[in-house]
Amino acid sequence: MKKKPILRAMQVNKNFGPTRALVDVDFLLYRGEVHGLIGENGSGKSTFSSIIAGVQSADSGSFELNGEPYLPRNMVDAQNRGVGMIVQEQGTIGSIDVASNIFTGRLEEFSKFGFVNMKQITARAQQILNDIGAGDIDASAPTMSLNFEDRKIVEMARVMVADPDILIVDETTTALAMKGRKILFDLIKRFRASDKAVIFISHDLGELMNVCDRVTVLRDGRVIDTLSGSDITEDSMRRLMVGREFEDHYFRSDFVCSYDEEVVLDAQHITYGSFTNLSLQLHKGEILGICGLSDCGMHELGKVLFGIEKSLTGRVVLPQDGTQVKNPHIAVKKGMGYLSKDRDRESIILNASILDNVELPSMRLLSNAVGYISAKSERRLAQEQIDVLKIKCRGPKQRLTELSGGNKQKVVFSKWLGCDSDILILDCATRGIDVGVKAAIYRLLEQIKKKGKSVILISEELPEMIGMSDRMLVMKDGKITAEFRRSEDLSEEDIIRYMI
Amino acid sequence: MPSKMKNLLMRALKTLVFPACVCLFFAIATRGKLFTSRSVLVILRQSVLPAVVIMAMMPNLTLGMMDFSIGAVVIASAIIGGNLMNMTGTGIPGLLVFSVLSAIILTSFTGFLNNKLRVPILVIALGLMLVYEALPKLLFPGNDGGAIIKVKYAMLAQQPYIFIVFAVSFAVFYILVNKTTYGHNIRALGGNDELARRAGLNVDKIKQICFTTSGFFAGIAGALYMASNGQVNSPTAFSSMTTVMDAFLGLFLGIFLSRFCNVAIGLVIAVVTMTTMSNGLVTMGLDATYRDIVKSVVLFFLLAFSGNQPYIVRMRANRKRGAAADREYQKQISA
Repeated sequence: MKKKPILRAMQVNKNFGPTRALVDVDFLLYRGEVHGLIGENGSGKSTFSSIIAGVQSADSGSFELNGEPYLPRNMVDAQNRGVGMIVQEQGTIGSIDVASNIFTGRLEEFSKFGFVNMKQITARAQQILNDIGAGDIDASAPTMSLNFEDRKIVEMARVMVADPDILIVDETTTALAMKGRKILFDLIKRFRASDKAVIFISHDLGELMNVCDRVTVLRDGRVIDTLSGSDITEDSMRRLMVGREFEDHYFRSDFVCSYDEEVVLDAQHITYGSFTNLSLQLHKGEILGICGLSDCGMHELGKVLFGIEKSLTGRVVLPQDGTQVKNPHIAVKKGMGYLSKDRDRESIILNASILDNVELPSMRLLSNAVGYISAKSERRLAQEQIDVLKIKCRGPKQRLTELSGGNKQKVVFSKWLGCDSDILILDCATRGIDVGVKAAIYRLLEQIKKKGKSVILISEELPEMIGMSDRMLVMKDGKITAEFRRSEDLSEEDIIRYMI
Repeated sequence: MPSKMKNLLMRALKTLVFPACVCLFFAIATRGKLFTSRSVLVILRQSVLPAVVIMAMMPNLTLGMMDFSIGAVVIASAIIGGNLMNMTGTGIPGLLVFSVLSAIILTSFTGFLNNKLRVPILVIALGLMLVYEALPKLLFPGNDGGAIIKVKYAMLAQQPYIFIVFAVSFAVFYILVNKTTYGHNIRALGGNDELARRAGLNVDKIKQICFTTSGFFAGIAGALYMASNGQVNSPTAFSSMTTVMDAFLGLFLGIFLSRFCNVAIGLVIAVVTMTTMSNGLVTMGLDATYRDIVKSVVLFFLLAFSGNQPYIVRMRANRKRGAAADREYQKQISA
């Protein structure tokens, strides 16, 4: 049977000042298809999908939806015409209840003479939540009482209100744990089965292989290729995204567990959040991996080790001089760096420039005896980091709000590299980062290790853990359930047994 | 007891605990003088004007905009309403209608400038405060920018009329905030304007409606202000701010109470509490300077307590958990 196109993009262009975000993009989406959209950070994926969803408009080019010209005025117009989008950032309003969030902008449908029927709205919202398999979320609950994942699920429910023909999922899965992923993938299956279509944006190549029928690769705003069927392999996607063959090794090439005996960070019987009386040691030149399911306590552990959260018992000490890490100020002063999982809220100042963000922990290195910081040294530091991490930007003065998700993550990384930290605590450091930059970061970690610096790598990605760590601590329900040393024979299955 | 009922009772208790403490304190301190039927009526009557001013300020505040020009609007609408009533001989209905219309025009103009100039509301409000303070002088130079009304019209500020005006205002405010798309939209917009915009809300239109609604309540406050004073002179050099100071104090307390009850009800309870405190201090013989200091200090403490409450609760829980973890660790070591 011949496939019917549902959406067609022709010669779409979009510029942001001198930056060409999209260049003559042609795109075809069929009914019953899950179409992956991949590319490096800043390659134009989010720009393209946001144009389809009516968030912004193209500078030139045209779209056809079901054979009709399509030019949405805004997101609601796009929704009314059958295009819904789940965005990368948090898209719910905390100060109103769940039902009002689901029907924001559509309250008039439940109003008579301006009087809104909240009972009807709540009942309808609950029905939608039940329908997508999220019946445990109470539609009348205040949205701020929900956790991040449930708020993402509320967004999914909001998209489903308009019963769209095309669902755009923009790098949403990284924010979801098991429950949210199940709901999302069930929705995707339902779209495919009912002859609708999904545009799926993700950096997780394995996930793309499992979910997508076809995958279009974007690089520097241009369509490089569209893969289908057996052509969709991790290697082919990586190669097309980056535009070159990868070296033999993606992670560390050695399988030797190598580090000094000297302990550089010692945490003894610390308690916070979901973990109690937990102890660990980090050695000089070691990459210590900490892995587990998202709610196992590893993210809280990272915060306690850096002094952001105070341990209720025991202490975190730097044995070299006996300093107790009581707060981030002491941690930074003693050469520690921390990269948070919640990038936008905890790791960067969105309204500030790259320069302002990068220099933040380096002030003491940049300033002279009287506290003066020269503009030249500031600029040099920021430019160095931009070059090292290949941050796509107009220059050090560009604001972070204007950068893509992956480039923001690079800025966070560069913040701590810039001040030459001796101990780095990286919580999901490569989350939302494309394979090219991931590879660069892994090389960087190797160099850091070679210099005798130490890294605590907290991650939910097991290949990354196995590929980079000297030692691995597996956590489950706030406890360390296993410890593995670097080995060629170590497999994901070995670790998963202790995680679940 | 069903959990819903228990929850409701707990919330009611939390809402009333501070007002009850204030009442109890002044009942003892004034030996019951403050709570004679006459004194209670005075407190309630005096609470009406700040309560209506708060209703005028609340919609904009929900959007994160503090409109400091509202005091000047109240006075300007009082003077305009009073003068136009005298000119047309329309009596109290005229006073209400002209005050409300003039206030709506002024606040709508504030909203228009806010939308078009994209300048922070603080800057616009401070600028317009001076303009609105001067406006009566330009409109009614013969009266030196002031207004005097006959004594018989002062009955609007007496019971039962003042309570009827309040009841109508409160009903309109309650319905607007809780039962209309307008109320829901301003809460959504106040929560995250960019998301609300993306969800298809017409942000500029909602903001404009907010200012217009604010004018409706400011106009009613203006009419009450005119009726209760009999003579109103045009203010100068930001002095209109003093008109809304009592409302400000009530507003902060009301926002605190709205954590436990509906915002409209919380605001009314807050204003009555602040007026009780004010009158209690008068009955105790404190002069105006000390009264203001005491009111401000009480409010600071209250806000500090409410702001830090989650931290205090967490600290207590942490201390308990830490002690338990320590005991467990000692056991492990000895084992």
